[in-house]
Amino acid sequence: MQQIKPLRVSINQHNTIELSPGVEHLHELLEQLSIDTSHVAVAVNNHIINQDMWLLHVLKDNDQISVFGAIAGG
Amino acid sequence: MESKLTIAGHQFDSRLFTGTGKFSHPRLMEQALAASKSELVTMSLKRVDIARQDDDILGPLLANSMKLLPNTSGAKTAQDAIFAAHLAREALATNWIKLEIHPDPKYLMPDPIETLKAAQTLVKDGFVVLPYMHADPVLAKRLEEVGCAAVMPLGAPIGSNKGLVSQDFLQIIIEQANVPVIVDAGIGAPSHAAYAMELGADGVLINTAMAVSPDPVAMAKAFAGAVAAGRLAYLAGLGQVNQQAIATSPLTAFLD
Repeated sequence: MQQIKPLRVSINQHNTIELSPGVEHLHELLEQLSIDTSHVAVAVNNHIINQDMWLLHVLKDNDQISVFGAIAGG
Repeated sequence: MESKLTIAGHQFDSRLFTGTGKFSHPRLMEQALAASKSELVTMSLKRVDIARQDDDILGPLLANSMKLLPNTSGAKTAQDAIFAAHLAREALATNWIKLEIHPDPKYLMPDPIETLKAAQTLVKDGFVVLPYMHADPVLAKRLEEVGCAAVMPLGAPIGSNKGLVSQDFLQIIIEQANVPVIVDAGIGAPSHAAYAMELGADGVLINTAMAVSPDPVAMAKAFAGAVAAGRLAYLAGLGQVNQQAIATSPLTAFLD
């Protein structure tokens, strides 16, 4: 039986990771990464995904995931 | 009589806005903000470092009920800035945005054409837009006409501490504006802030001068006092500037 190759996505333009078993949606990826999601915005392939869509957004191979948060600034 | 500063229906008791950059420690920033009595603070957005998520500047700001004004710093075009604004709205649940587009890293001069383009779109998208801009009276009116909630002309280049280099043009902007004018950038000393307020600015935004002071908390208090004094002087009405002396005492009685 042919083994299914795990999907790979890039995170914040640097790290490329394999999705853990059972990770199909954006919110599951954020859990896999242990990201504090209270004040972040997430874009997939430069399209912002609203927080209420994280549960439903299905990830694809080679997706580029960007997670943004607040930092100090003037 | 003093009236409160109101931007897009939101009232502020303090006319001193503060940036959160460059403080040596978040706790020091929190103490300085408390001393400043600022009710609005700016911040930026950046890609999260997944490996170390410890840069939590928001906790103390939200705990103290500060109004958040995320900026679009890093944007080089209108398109970048619009994207950044939508990210900020998503991350911070606010539709307020400090629109800043400065493609030139040396002087950080705001790009007027891209700023106007972005402002038009963002206002249509439901944002409360406060654009950082050069002290250009024509641009200030154009930004007002497309629906910006305030304008934020510079006193001098960001972080330069040079004061109100643009003073003559700030005065024209203030005279003509129908929206609040917040002098942003270049204010390096409380006296600069007081002077901006004496000219009739509705508020000032301070960051570097407070954050890099050896004692940011004391400097925050100094700025708060200066802004209040400048505002009071503006409301009281400054005397006319004259070329020659005008005596304050009678000059004839003693010798007559």
